[in-house]
Amino acid sequence: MGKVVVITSGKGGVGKTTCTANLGAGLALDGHSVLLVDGDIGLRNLDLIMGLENRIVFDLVDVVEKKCRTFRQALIKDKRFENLHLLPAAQSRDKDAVSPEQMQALCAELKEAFDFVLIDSPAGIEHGFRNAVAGADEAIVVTNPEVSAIRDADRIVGLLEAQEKSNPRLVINRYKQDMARRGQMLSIQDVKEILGIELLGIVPEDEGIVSASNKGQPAVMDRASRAGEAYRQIVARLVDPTCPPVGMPASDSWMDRLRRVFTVSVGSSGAH
Amino acid sequence: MQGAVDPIQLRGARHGILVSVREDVDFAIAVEALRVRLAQENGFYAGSGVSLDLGWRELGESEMERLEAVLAECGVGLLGIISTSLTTRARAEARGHKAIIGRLGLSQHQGRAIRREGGARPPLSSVPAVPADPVPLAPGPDKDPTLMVRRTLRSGQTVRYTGNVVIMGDVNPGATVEAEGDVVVLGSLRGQAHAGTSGREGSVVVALAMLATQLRIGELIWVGEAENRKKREATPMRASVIQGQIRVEPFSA
Ligand SMILES: Nc1ncnc2c1ncn2[C@@H]1O[C@H](COP(=O)(O)OP(=O)(O)OP(=O)(O)O)[C@@H](O)[C@H]1O
Ligand SMILES: [Mg+2]
Repeated sequence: MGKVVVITSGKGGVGKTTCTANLGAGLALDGHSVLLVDGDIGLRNLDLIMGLENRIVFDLVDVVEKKCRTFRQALIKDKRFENLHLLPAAQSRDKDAVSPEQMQALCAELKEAFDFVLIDSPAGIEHGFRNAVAGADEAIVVTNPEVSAIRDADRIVGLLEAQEKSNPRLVINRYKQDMARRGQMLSIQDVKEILGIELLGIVPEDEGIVSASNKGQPAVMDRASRAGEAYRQIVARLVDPTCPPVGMPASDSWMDRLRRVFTVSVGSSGAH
Repeated sequence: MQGAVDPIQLRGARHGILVSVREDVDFAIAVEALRVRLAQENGFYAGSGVSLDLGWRELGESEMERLEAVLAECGVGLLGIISTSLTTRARAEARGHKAIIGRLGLSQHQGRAIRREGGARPPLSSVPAVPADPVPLAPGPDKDPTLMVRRTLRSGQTVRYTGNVVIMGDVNPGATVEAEGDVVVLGSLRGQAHAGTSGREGSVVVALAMLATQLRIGELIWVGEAENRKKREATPMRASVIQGQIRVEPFSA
């Protein structure tokens, strides 16, 4: 049985959909069977980034409402990978068309059929977010290294924790190393210290991302792309959590150590 | 107070059921939890009435509608809304509900259920915030009860308490701690901390890393200078009121 991973953020436009498309293609490239679910009902665009928009017949809401016989009828097979599929979002439907319970049931069914089910969540903490996380086993929180995006990401982490989706992992997208070095942008360490969750990967700012998305050709497939390389590393860590992080600061500030001390004490006294 | 908390709390009260809705949980999640709770007992709650304690939460029109819909779905009547938010009360009243103010400054879970019959005064059987001190002397700060919060407070989350608060974790930007007594943060304090909310200026704020840009003790406000941030990061600091001003100094017990 596979697992369901939701890709989410507090602030919009930080790169969730791009991340979902790239991780999906990367996992497929690595030989896993993958389903991408566009959870952004009413604002779909995962199909565009994958270059699959004119193949949609049925969508997520049709599946939930049983307008098609099985979910398989709604799946669109990727042009490049046999083992990569997309379950598109409804374009014209209202966000309340699906309930969290329906998503849970659907996810349970989907992960029987795929190694990885990646859900592209809408931004924010509204209905769409709750649907997207309802059936997920794991969560990836995407943020940009800026104060407002991090504050919203923190909020999302708080909500995930309140829903017992513990241990969400972090992707920092659009990182500009030179700016961080000059102190004009938050550093990785700053972001890590505030959010205090496991860092899954860092994706650099890369103009190639935009043209790759426009062509419907995820950057992860381009060996020369820097962002693509970052997505490949995240894929490796998704497949094997023990895979060592590359280019990430060692987590040994005294604050981090202290946090570990308390985390341990919380765990051991968590029963009452 | 543990990591995963129930967004709602149901309690039998003299008049119907008192439901406390946590303020720091997304409203839709809280309402969903309420729906599940009311529905799961096989209609046990049907036909009864609830009073909702919403604390400081500001309820929007559509949220109010959603709440009514969920209660109607479960066959439960709404006796009234308890809230310290003027907006929420006004909105509830506009929709024909009874609304009373919660007890300001206390944790929201002290609210009392609203009587089914209109007109009469609310019952006098309110539960005190904390067990009253058996010795009726003016309690010194050391006699205050202490709330232990064993997690990081994240953006949008708030802890208010009638005694001291100890956070075993960080207080992130956008999070708030308010205590009638002291605030102790065993981690980084980057969000809002307010000690001595009832006006007690002997209260202190202590943090292992004092990175807040603003602190409050009683009525006083301290605004930190950015250039001292590095220094504050390296040493535990204590903020206290000295000669009518908040001073933030390295902490040595
Ligand atoms: N690493 C990157 N470098 C440069 N541009 C990027 C990067 N990642 C994403 N972008 C661009 O940022 C924009 C927003 O990305 P995307 O649509 O993936 O965000 P989103 O989080 O899904 O947004 P929404 O919240 O609206 O769903 C796109 O134009 C995308 O091409
Ligand atoms: Mg998107």
